Amino acid sequence: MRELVVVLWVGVAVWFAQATYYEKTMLSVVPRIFRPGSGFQHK
Amino acid sequence: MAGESPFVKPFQCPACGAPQTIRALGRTTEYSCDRCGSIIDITNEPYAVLHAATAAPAVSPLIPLGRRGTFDGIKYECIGFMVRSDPTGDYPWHEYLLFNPYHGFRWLMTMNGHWNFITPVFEDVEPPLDSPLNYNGRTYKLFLRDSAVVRFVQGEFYWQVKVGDEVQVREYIAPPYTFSSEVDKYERNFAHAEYIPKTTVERAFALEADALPIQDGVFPNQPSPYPAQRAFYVLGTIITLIVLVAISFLFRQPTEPVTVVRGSIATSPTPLITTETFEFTNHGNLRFTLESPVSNSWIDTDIDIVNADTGESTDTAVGASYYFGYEGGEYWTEGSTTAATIVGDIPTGRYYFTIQTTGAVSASAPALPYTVAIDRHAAYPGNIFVAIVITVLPLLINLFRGGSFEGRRWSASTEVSKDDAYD
Repeated sequence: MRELVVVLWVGVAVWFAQATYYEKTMLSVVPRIFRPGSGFQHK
Repeated sequence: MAGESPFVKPFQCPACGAPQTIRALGRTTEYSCDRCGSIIDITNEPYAVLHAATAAPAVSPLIPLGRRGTFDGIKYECIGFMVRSDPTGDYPWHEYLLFNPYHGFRWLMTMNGHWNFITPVFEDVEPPLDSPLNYNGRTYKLFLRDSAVVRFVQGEFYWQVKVGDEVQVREYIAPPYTFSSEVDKYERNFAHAEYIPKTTVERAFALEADALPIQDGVFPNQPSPYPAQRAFYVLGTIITLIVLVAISFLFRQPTEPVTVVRGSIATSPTPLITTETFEFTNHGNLRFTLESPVSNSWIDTDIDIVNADTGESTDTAVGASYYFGYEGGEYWTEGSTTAATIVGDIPTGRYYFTIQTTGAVSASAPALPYTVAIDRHAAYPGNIFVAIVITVLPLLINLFRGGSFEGRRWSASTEVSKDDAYD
């Protein structure tokens, strides 16, 4: 179990290093457009 | 304890005639026949029946009487077996009396697959009515106040015992230890117990592996495995968080402006705007920030990121809307005149952008101005947020499971609430 957790932490660090270096985005900002009468729409 | 031991004596049950063996002669006073269950007084010969059995024994001990087992380097012989329960009979447990001629009596107690090695306490202890009990430098919490009723006996014992005997029990716990007191109208007895894994019992008595039942639930003095693991999780979490922060500083590039596109929208959609070409010499993201003084209105920009050499394109969009009003006696606002979106992992190369804008416009209204600012290497907190959540997850699970373990332990207590138990 401890070995798996260590693998998880190392994996997170490696992924984060790669994502930071290449400036990858994970949670893209979805623009919200509000039009009267239709409520919020996600485009 | 060989066959010629002065503590061993064969005899015939005076009730049924079955051959029996006393294994702690002179130290025990009572014997229960393993054939008929009659209780026999063995203090003086000829042995007399104290209580005749009314039914054949219905419970078989998991450790056979006469079997020898070693605990802490001391060999004991199992000489007695007893079943006791709470007054309702819903929660029975088994007790095995162990004997060594030089070290005296010990007990093994088992319930729901859990085992305790019990040592009698001969000190004069005055257990408090409420927690805590301090004994031998350790603090014990009051866990249980109940009665224990004898349901079945087999073998020999050092006091006169019979089915139906009842004592008042108090148990104080400091896992993996228990201090217990048993009181009736004649005497009071104290005992100190230590929780032991069932494999210890199997090895001690040379039982087959998995001969004993598997554990069910959490026992009052069962040590929780989670606090011992916590240092590992805390240390690992801290180290990983430090590494993440170091990475975010080491790999972070300063934000660079690329261009600002200015325009206005009088008709929707606007004509396509194409920017000049820009060369990106390293990997990175692109941030598009739209700003427009929208007022009870909206504006939306479609953007294509086009590689000037290959023609490949990536599209994105950013929109802003801002509304306000007065309703129900209160002013309200919704949205913002500014919005941004980030496109990550743009490879090196030469790029230009095409921008087309739509919005809520009318022929009578003036043109709505807007700007789209394009930057490289924008700060993006999403990745480190996700990384931190994943990093602390094992520690959170450890804390949760530790709390759940204690909750299950104290759910069987007669004394304190679960919240008190965590103090």
